[in-house]
Parts: sequence; C-alpha cells; structure tokens
Amino acid sequence: MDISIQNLNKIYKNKHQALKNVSLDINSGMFGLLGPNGAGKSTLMKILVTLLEPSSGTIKVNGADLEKNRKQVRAMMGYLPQDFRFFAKLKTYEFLDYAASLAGINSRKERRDEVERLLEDVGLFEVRNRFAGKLSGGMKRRLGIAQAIVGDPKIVIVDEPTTGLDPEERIRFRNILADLSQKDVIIILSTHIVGDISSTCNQMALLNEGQIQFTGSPDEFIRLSEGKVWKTQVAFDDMEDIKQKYPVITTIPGANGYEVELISPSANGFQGENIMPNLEHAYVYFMEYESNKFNRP
Amino acid sequence: MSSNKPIFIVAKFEVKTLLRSWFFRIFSAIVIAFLLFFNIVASTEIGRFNFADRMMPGGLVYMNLWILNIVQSIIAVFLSSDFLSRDKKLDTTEVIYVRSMSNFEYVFGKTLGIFYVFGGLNLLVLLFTFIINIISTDAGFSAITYLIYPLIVSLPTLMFVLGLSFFVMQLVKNQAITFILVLGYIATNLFYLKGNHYGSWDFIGFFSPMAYSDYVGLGNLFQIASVRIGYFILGISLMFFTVFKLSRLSQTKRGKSVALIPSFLFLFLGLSLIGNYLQHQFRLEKQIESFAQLEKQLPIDAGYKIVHYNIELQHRQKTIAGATEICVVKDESLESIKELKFYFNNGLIVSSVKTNGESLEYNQNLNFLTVFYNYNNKDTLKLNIEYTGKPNDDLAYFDLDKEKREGLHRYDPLLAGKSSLFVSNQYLLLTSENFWYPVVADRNAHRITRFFTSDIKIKGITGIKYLSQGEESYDGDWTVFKGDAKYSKLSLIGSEFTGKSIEVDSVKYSYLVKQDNDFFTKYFENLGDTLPNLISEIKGDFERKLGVPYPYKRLTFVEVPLHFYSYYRSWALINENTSPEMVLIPEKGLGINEFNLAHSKNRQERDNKREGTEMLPKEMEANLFMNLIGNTFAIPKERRFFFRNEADAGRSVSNWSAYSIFPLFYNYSYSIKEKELPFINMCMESYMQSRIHSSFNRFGSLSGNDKSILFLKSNTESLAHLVDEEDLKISIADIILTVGNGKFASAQQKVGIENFENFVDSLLGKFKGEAINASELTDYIGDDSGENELNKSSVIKLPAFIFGESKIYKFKDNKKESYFISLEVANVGEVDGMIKASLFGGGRRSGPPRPGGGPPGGGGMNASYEDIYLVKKGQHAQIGIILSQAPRMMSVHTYLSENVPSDNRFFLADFEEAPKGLKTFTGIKDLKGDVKYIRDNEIVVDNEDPGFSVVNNKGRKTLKEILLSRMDVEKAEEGFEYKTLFPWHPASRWTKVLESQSFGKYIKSYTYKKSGDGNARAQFKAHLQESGRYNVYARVPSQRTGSFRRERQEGSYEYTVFHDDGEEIVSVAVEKDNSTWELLGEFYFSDGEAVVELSDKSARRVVVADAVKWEKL
Repeated sequence: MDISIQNLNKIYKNKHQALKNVSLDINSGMFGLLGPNGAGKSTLMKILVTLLEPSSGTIKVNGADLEKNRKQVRAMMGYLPQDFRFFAKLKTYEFLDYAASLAGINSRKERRDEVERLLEDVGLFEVRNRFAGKLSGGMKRRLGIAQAIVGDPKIVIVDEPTTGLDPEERIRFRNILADLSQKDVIIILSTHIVGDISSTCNQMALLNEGQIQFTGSPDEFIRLSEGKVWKTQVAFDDMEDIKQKYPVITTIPGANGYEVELISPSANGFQGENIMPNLEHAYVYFMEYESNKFNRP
Repeated sequence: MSSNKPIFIVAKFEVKTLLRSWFFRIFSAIVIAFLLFFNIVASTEIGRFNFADRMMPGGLVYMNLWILNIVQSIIAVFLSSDFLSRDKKLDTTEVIYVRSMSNFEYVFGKTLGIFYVFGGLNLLVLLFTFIINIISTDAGFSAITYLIYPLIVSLPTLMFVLGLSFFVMQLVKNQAITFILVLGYIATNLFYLKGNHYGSWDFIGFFSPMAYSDYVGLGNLFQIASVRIGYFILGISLMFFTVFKLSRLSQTKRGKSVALIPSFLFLFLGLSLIGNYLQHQFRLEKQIESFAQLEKQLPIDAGYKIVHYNIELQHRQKTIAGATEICVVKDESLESIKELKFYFNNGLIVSSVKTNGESLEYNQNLNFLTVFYNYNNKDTLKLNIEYTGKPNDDLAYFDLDKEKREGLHRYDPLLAGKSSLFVSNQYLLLTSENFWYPVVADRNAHRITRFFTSDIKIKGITGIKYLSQGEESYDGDWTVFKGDAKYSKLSLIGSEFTGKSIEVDSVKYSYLVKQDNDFFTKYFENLGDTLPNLISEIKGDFERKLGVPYPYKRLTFVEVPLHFYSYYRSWALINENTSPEMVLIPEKGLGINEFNLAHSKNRQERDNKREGTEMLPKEMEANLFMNLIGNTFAIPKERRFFFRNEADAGRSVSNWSAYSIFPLFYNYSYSIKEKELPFINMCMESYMQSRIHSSFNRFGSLSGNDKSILFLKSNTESLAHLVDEEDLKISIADIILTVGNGKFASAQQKVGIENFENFVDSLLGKFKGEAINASELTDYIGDDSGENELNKSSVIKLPAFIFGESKIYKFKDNKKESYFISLEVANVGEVDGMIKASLFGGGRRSGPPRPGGGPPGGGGMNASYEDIYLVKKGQHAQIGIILSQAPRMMSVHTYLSENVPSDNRFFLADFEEAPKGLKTFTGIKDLKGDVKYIRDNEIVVDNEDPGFSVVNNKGRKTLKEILLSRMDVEKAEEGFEYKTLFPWHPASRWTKVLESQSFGKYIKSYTYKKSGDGNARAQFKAHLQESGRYNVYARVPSQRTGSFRRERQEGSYEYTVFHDDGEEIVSVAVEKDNSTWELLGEFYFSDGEAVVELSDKSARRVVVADAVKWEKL
C-alpha cells in the first residue's frame, strides 16, 4: 500500500491557504503527521478521507487517483475525526455494527464476530449495551478507533486521537494502533503531541503553516537536533533571561537554582552538557530554528 | 435488492435513531392516544357518541389518517431537519460520509428510515382503526381503503414534507430556520391557502376530497391523481436536489451533477401533473363562463315548451345511447320560430334530429342544441333526437358563483367529491341539472317549474336496477317507466340496488340502497304493522299543515354516492336531491344527523333512563322513525356543523334540509306563470313554506329579512336594477322575498289571514300540474303587488316602527278567565307598514314526538295566535289581543321596515290584574298620545348613537391579540357590520350584534367583545341639558348572552360613572334572564357632557355594551 501526494494545495473560500504544495509519499506502516495547531493537518486528513476536495494537486492511492476513485478508496478507508462524538441514540454495539455494515461486512454472523472482537480489543465489551453518548472520553476514543478499523481497512486515518486523554488511555490507544500497524495497512496519525509519534511511527512528516517541512523517519528527525540539546544549571535570577534567549524544554528547581534542558545550536552564554535529544527536543529545535527557513521568500 | 446495500443500512440505523427520539415518541404517543381516545369515544359503544363519519365506507380510516397526516407532517419536518443538523453538530457524519456509498444512498437511506418509522405509525393507526371498525356500530368497512388511504393521504404528504425539509435545510443550513420556514408553509397551507386554486396547494391533503364511495370509489379522481401524485413526485425531486446539494463529495467526480437530472425530471413531471390539472380546471371555468354568458343572452321565455318526452335509453358501460322524442308546443302569440334552442348535455353527441322522418339541421355548442326548423303552424312539433356518448357535469351550476362551486363538500369534517352525474358500468345517475334530456333553453328554465308528461325506457346492464319517474314495468330487456303525473324534471338512476316497498294510502313508498348498505332496517324490526300508520300520519300531518296533497303515486328514497352534490339556486328552494317521486339520500345517510340511528337510539335510551321512562321496543322504534322522517324530510330541524355552515340555499333559510319533501308537494306541482323573473313564484313558495317551517335564528344570526333591510337602508338603486347587479353583497332572493313577503302580508291584512289561506288552497287545488296565471292571484288581492310593483324602478321606501309599552292583563270575560295583551306601536317612517303579532302560549314542539303523532317540529315554536296589522304612516296606535290562555311570549315581525332585527320578542310572563275600567278590545286603534320609547326626563345613549365609542386596547398588545384582531377585521370586511356571537369564539374586538332584547330605536343591537384585562373600554357620552341629580342606569344583557346553552356564568360588569364629584366604579352582576335597565346610582351632573364607561374586565366570557340612561330626578 502506498499513498502519493503531489503538490497538494487547499485554498478555502475565505482565501486562507491551508495547504501549500504538499507532497508526500506514505507507505505501509504507521505514519505520523506532526504539526502545531492550525498547521493544516486536519485539512490534509479531510482531503485524504474524501471529505474535502483539494484546490489543486493529486493524491494517488496505490497508483489510483483519489479524485476519480473515491468509491474504491472509501471502501478501504477507516477514519477517526478529531473531537469525535457519536449518535446519542445508538448503543456502543449498534454504532460499531452500523460502521461494520457500511464497511461492507455483509454477513450478520461475520459482523457480529468482528464487532465483538473489536469491542474486546478496545476494551469496550463490558459496556457494549451502553449508549455511545454515555461513554467516558477515553472509551469514546476507543470506540472511535474501533469504528475506524472495523472491516480491515487498508488505510486508517486518525486525526488528533489522543488529545484530552489521560496517560493510561493514551498508552492504551497507541498500543491499539501499534498492533494494527503490524498488518499491511497505512495508518496516518495526525497529532500535535510528539509522544504519539515517537512511540509508534516509522515514518513521519512535519506540517507547519500548510507546508511539509520535514519527511523521514523519527530517528532522522531526531538526528537533526543532535548536539543542540543542553542540560544546564541556571540560577534563580538568570532563569528569565535564559527563557528569553532559548526554548526551555524542562525546568527542575533545585537548591541553588534550576536544572534546565534547553535547545540551542551552541552553548553560548551558558555552561552545559550536551545530551541525547528525543523527538520532543527535535520538534522544538525544528520549530525554533529550522521551520522559519521555509518562510523565506 | 439486497438489504446490505448502504441505502438499507442507513435506513435501518435511522429507524433505530428515530424510534429513540423523544420528540418522535412524545408526538406519536400523543397522536395515537388522541386518535384512540377519539375513536373509542366517538365510534364505539363505550363512548356512545357515534361520530357520523364512521358510517362512510372507510370513513374511520380516512378520518384517522387525515388527522395523523397533519401531526406526522410536523414530526417529519422536525425529524428530517433534525438529522442533518444532528449529524453536522456532532461531527458524526464524517465517519459515515467517508464510507463507500453514494449520496443518493445516504439521502434516500435516511428518507427510507423515516418512511419505515412513519409506515409503522400508520400501520399502528390502521390496526386499531381496523379493530374499532369491527366493533363500531354501523361503521362503513371497505378493505380497499386500508390500502388506498395510506397511499393517497400519508405517502405523498410525507414524501413532499421530507423533500422540502431536506432541501430547505440544505439551503439555509439552520435547523431552527428550516423548522420555521417549513412549519410556516404548512400553517399557510392549512389556514390561508386551504383548498384554494382547486386544491392545488394542498400538499397535506387536508382540503382534498378523498372520501370513498361504495358506488363509484374515490370522487375527484383526476384531482387526486394529479395533485397527490404530483406532490409525491415533487418530493422525490426535492430529495434529488438534496442529493445534489449535500455537502459530501460524491462517489464519482460527476456524481452530483448526475443528481440534477432526476431532480429536474421529477420537478418537471410533478409540476406538469399539477399544472395539467390546473389547466383543465381553468379551461372548464372558461367554458362555464362562456356558457353563462350565452345563457344571459337567451330570452326570459322562449315562447315554446316541451309537453311530452318519450325517451329510450341504453346504458352501455361508461356511455349511454338514446333516442328521445319530444313534443314541442309553441305559444299562440308567436307566428313562427326559425330555430329551436334546447339545453342538452354536450357529452351526448347528437347523430340526428328528425321530424316526421325528415332530417333537420342542428348544431351543438356547449350545453346547447340548436335545431333549425321553420315551426310556423299550431301543431305539436315532434322532434326525434338520437345521440350517444358520456354525459358530463362540466357545465353544471354554471350560473352559480365560482366560489360556491369551488366550496368543499364536507361530511363534517371529511371531504367528498362534488359531482352531479355518474356514468359507469356499475352505476348510473342522471339528473335534470345536466340536461340528459333536452330542455327548452331560456332564462326561466332554471327558475320556473314547467310541466310535461313522460315515458322512459331503459335497456341496461344485467344486474342493475333502474329508477325513474313513472310506473315501472318490464318489456323484454327494457325497463319501462310510464309517467302517470305531470312532472317538472326527470332523474334516472341505476345500480345494484336492494330495497323494500310498502303501499300506504295509494302511495307506494320504497327505499333503494346498495346491497350492504341497509344498516337501518334493524332499527325498525319491531315496527311491523305500525309502519303504515306512522307513514300515513306523517303524510297526513304534512298535507294538513301545507294544505296540498301529495301529488304522486310513489315516493322512493334512493341512496346515491356520497360524492353527489347538489346546490340550491336562489329562485326556488329546490335542488337535485329531490325530484318528482324521489328523494336522493347520500350513501349511508351521511351528512344527515337522523340517519345516525345508533346515536339517536343511544340518546333515546339515555333520555329514557334519566327520566325513568319505560318504553316498549316498538315505541322506541316508532320514535326513531318519526324523528328520522320528520326531522329530515318533513319539517327540517336545526343542526349545527363544526366545519361548515348550513346548506347554502342561495338565500337565508335557517333549519332547512336539502332532503325536505316540500318541493315534491309544492314546487314540482305548482307554478305561477310569469313572463319575467319569478317574483310571485318565490313569494308564494315562501308563503307555503311558512306553513310548515318556522325560521329560528340562534346566536342572533342575521335573517334574510334583516340582511335585506340593512342592505336596502343604504341602497339607492331600484329593485329592477339590483336584480341585474352582478356583485350584489347579499342574495337577491332575500331582497325579493323581503319585499314580496311584505306585499303578501298586506294582502293577508286586507282580506284576513284565514280568507287568504282558503283562497290559496282553492287556487292550488284547481291548478295542480298547470301553470297558474299570475292575475288569478293579483286579482284576488286587488293589487298589482306582483311583478309590476316589484319591477318598479323607484327606490324602496321603508316604514319605521317605535314600540312603547307592552302589557298583559288578566280579566274575567263572562266569568271566564281571559287575558288582554296590549302593545303600543307607532309608524314614524315614510310609508305605511305592516306588523305581524304572534303569541306563543303552548309548549315547544321540538324533541321526541308523541308515538303515533305527527312529525316533530323543527325547533321553532307554534303560534297560538297570529294577526297582521296595518300601521299607517304617522299613526300612533295600540294593538289589543284577547286570549283565553296566558301567553308566554309575543313576537312582532316588522316585515320590510327600518327595524332590525325584524323579529321583536316581548316576554309576557308577568301579567297584572286588570285595573278597573280597562277597555279590552281586539284589533288596532289610535292612541291618544304619542308612543314613546324613552320618557321625557330620560336621556339615553345607545350603542348605535354618535355618543357611543369604543377603545379596543389601550395597553400593549400581545401577538395573539394582534392576530385575533386582524381576524376580526377580516371577518368584518366580509359582510355586514353585525355579526353573530358564538360563545366558543367571541370577537376580540368590540363587535355589533343584532338582538331584539337589546335597547334601540329601530336597530336593536349591542356591542360586545371578549372580556379582557380592562384595557378595552366602551364609552357612553351624553349631553345633559340641565344640571341636577340623575339616576344613571345601564342596560345589562341577560345572563344567557355569550353563554353556552346550559351554562350559567357568574360575573359582573364594571361601569365607571364620571360625575361632578369625581368618578365611581359600579359593579353590576349579570344574572337576570332578560336584558334589563340596572341602576348604577344617583349622581349629580352639571349640564353638558356626562360620561359612563364600561370596562372589558369581567369574569364572564364577554362584555356587552348596549345603552346607558340618565334619568333626571
């Protein structure tokens, strides 16, 4: 499975350009789309799931043009939108049954088995007769992913799936996705939470201000910030000054000041120890020092 | 189709969602509970209310779906707009939208889901309707209606409402606005557009005739097929537009545009269906207009008449073929006639017209058949006309208002079609209105009865029984009707009838009904040999009262399809429900109260129980029978309708029945020859009608006399001119009768009521079945009070009466207790005038009749004494009447005068012992003094006076008040300023009502409004000549005013008297049985302006402002 996006643009009626010449190649596995709020992630997701039409550019799914083959692409698609709620009048089981029916599972028995399996998988079997609207936030999100993956879709697109979830739910959610990524499917995970990507994705892209500013693996992304992440001690009085100068990642107060992790191309004006960056460091580094290069005329 | 298709999947889950919607649940529960309750109460023995429309074939189905349809339209609007907004709001749609299905499947899946749900609701309603249908007494069952009504009532409405809501929702993207727009459209349809433009707006089917007849099925099939199917298709078109507008990318690149093709296709189809129907109606209307124009060019009297018909007719499935021989006689005064013009139905295509074997030229245009022949001798001309075709009723009642013709045919409240003719392979009904036989074409053809003889032969379809005028016999395949009386119109009816006959006093009485429709004989099983006696008594009583015998040898009551409709024309109180020898009754007696025999029986049983009366079954049946015949056919009884007014008789006749046998006794056998308009005929008919019928107006509704007077008061045209006026505000018949009745009263006054009665009896005895010369009447009266007088081109002048004291004294006359009634009256008008005093002493003759007695009265009262008095111009007189029994009430009718209402009632309950020296007398004599309606020391401000004014609202108005007042204004613009006070719907603005108990010089009226919060006021402003102490009185109405019949309302009126020492609020209880002067108090007033105000604040339903009186002390 592969998705190829070429020169994708989206300009809304209010002239706002949400996507600018986006080009991406996505292969099987878990693909993380990282970007701050308003970067255009949801627009890209909506275009991918055929909810929106691009202003220009092409998307090919397994070589087939998405615009001309919506029917086929939709048949292999599962989607969990951002901030998703449910038909208040349907029970958990029924909602999933509805999704399974629409996903093309025609046999009633097959559908029942699939729905029950998924409910088990996402840990909702016990509450299958509860109205979907009455589920907790985490449960709703799990039901959301269940409906997205029902019927073995080849492409699963999840938009900001972990926002608002507690850590336990978030881990549980990531695991569900990780399990799924073992199959020959593309999972596109759009998020502004770096941890979602670091723990699950083998490919990623960074979308900022409608532009793809990075594509590659999370490791490659991390490597961009190697040697730029510092651990240092900052006196209480100097803290404000440091904050003004550098993006500070962590601040741990101590007896004589703070132990601080910050991002800087060099240890200029402070004494610190270089540490191994993680995805979060890389993301901050990229946003602070690299992304502005894309805005140059 | 596989149920795994997305359309069915969407539908399936939509059903689940909808069934769990509280809105749906609550509304459905309410409508089901209401319908169940209504059905049980109205149509089963538990409720014993016996709703009459249950007897209609499929009536319960129609009624229930008719009600359900409105409610489900509203629910559908909400649900359909709700699902789109719900999906959008909760962002849920997206996970559905990304699934592989077309927009068509999604939208139609949703629609299907809603249809499943409403289908279930309809099924549920049909299910309990079926149960009620089985257990309800006399309910009309028709299996096919269980299939038809969901299809023609529910389905098109739902489809259109859903399509409209979806579409509007897609356009405005706002549920609240969609809801308001679509509900607004529904409300506009229900309350404003109604059945306008031939019902083409009526997507709900609320104003479309959809009653089902066992004889001919649905009525206006063309309308139903066009409009109902049209809206169904328009609904589909809107659905496709929704598919096009849906904010979801289609499956294929051109998917959306493709949806436009069926959208426009269905739009075109739907509009074409409705458009074609409208075009057809407009074309018909044009035809009617041109026919009416041509009719106006005809001479009043053609100068020749048909004296005999010899009709041979074949009923061939949906057509008829015939050969009719007519014998034409020319007036002696005419030398020759070049062409003979007849009315003849244009659906019957004439193939030849011959005389003595010679073919004549002829021409057919609209309903005219013109035969070109030089008729120049005195011989009877025999014309043989051959024709074939399907007669139609396209031009029926061409001379009536369009509005009237378009009016709905309600069986209170269900709607039936309106046809005056039926030709099918199972059924035939031809009436004179549609000229199935040639009739001389002149303007009096519809106005004056003309007599002829007839022989009719019909060869028809096996199994069908035919009925027409004459003695029935058979000649091979032919049914022969040999006429044995003079007839004035012919009807021909054929169906698979069953019936019974009985001969009483040489008259054969029969009824003919469809086989399964004899629901009534079971109510009279015990009557046995009493039946002839009952019939004989009813007939005898009717003949005694009317003074003429029944003119035919047979009388048949025939059931006709419920779509049969007949109008009155103002010229005579006849319609096509009656013709010589027969009365046509709608299927199952629908629309006739007394045919609801289960109800009448229940009521009788209840009354008996309440009164502790024991009655034998036979007695009870006799009562039922007498009520049925008496109240329907003999002396019509007042009845009220919820959804329609009384049968419009083309003039103001209250309590009249379309099925009255009066025309069989009188109109079809007697006629006065008039070369011009039938004025004398009308007056004579009115005089004859008064012998059996008393008009009794409830709630102060305007009588024909009152309407005419109010009209003539402001009229400056002569009567002759008014006759030709097209847009006359009132019925010309009312005016003619008011003038004519005055003339007849004058004649009666001159020769005496009894002498006049005897003269009329002998005249009619002499001329049965022959035209009476008008001079026979006018010579006797010694006055040319007939047509010449009425045709005078002068403006009518009116007398004006003032009534003084009315008293009743008890005295001994030769030791016998007697009563002297005295009434002071003055004529202060421009011409002499007549008044009729009627005294009522006996009991009312309404209610259940005596077993074996005459038919029950029509809710009116029988006068124990009546006389007519001439009160000359300027005369102040006293009328004296001596009676041996104490009367309860005196009614004085003032004929054509300034006085309205023209019936004045004087209650005479409290009589006084005669003072010494009381001079009793009978008759009228001059008074020494003048008659005064107020004393010299009194000043009265009446609600008709300039000193009276009203303020409708001083404060802030609510929306409801604004709407109500707008309705009142609209109503006021519709007709006279005087309205009727209906307790269930009193006016929200000050409104005038005529009422004889009210105070007034010539116009006795009060002004009332629904009680309010005190913001509205009525003001009486007098100009006092001198300062001093005055007693101030207010005229307070009877406690019955504005009350329901058995209701006794508590409450008072609040008057504010503005006097020299300030103002005083006086509360006056409204508790008397009559309208009376109530003292507000003694006050000091300086000369000049004096004011009393009445507030609209009261615990009573209405506040009445009549008059205020200042009495100088």
